[in-house]
Amino acid sequence: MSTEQEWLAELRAGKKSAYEALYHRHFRMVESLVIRLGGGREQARDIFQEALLVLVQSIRKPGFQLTGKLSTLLYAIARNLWLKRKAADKIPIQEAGSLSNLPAGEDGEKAALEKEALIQLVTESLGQLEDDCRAVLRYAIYQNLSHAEIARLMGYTEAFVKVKKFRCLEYLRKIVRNSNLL
Amino acid sequence: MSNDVNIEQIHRYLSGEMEVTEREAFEAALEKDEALQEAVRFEQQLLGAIEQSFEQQARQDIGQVHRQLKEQGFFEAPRSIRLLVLRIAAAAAVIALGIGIGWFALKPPAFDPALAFSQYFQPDSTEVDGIIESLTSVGFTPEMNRSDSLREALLLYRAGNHQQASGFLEIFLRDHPQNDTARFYLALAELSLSQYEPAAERLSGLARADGFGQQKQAQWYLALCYLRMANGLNPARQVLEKLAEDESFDKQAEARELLEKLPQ
Repeated sequence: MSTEQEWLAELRAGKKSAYEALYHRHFRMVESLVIRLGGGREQARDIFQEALLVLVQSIRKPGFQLTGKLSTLLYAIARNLWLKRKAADKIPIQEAGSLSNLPAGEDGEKAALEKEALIQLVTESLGQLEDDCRAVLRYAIYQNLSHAEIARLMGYTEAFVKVKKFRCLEYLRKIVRNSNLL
Repeated sequence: MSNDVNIEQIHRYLSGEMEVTEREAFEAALEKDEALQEAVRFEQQLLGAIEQSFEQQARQDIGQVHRQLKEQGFFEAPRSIRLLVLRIAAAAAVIALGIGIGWFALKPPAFDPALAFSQYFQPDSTEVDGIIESLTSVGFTPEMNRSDSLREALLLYRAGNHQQASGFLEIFLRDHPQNDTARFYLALAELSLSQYEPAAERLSGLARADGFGQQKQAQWYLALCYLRMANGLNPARQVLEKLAEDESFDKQAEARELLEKLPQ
């Protein structure tokens, strides 16, 4: 497996060491880019942090395949983010009392609180799962990987992954049902 | 909800994996079956919450790494100090190399491919000047976006910014995949960054490209690259034997010298 593919696998597995390695290897490149395009060091840090999250979101898109280098992808993401931010700075800020300041309404607030509570419950429950269970759910639901891809990454059979995913989800389902949040 | 509601079927529906006919049949059933509607709503919210949870985790982890690096002074370290440290390290490496070479001179050592690579590998810094000049003089640059510019990438390469040059060259090659000059300098940047496998792949193509002006240079760098790869001694020898016989190659003497050092 090439280093690029190993990094991709580490990012998919949500390993912090992958983020750290990307900072060490590519932050200076992005910093130079932002400075060259009229930004400052502080802004470069924000952009890099944001770019890492966009990178994580990009690789989870169904059918994503790494055709070049992660560094190239990260560079392109950072560049787009910075150009968008610069463009946004030129748009006048809406005056007070405009659409963005309208209250969400009681129903909207209640729904948002319920959603937040559900995410909190799921996060806690995921924390209680065994590592393999959490990894299967991460790959299947967050990374949108097929059973075959998960099986390859984890060294299981496809059938085992399917059953494991079902059981781990069933565990969460029971907790959520008992909570009456849904 | 009917008892045989298939969770997997619901997931396939939610992820848009169903074929048109299957989806239409499912939606027809969904319209009539309140329990199925409830099950779909439940799964949708559960899966959404799991996704959000992992997303929040990623955000937190990235933030944590960022804060840790900040505490360690990663962002604050002035470049001058970093460069100074690098220079001291480089000087120490040169001294160590000098001592090593002295020791080796007294006692013939076993062949060390890594040492040989560091002795003979010099990123091209002469021909690149002419190429940069030619790109300027033919008015090549103004037609391109700044970030895509080959010239800008080569200027970074010449300045020794191989990491950045590599990023620029890759972007350039996405639009101009057949540009041998960009492939050549990307390979050299990769060699400087110890990325031997991609460098070997690019150089082996260029080493066979008869119309390429730096074909022999590509062969020379390919031989050096092979030295750093597993089972690379024989392929390196084959390339060097060819170059050692080539009187038109400006590094013929070095090729011969290196060839003699290779273990039999």
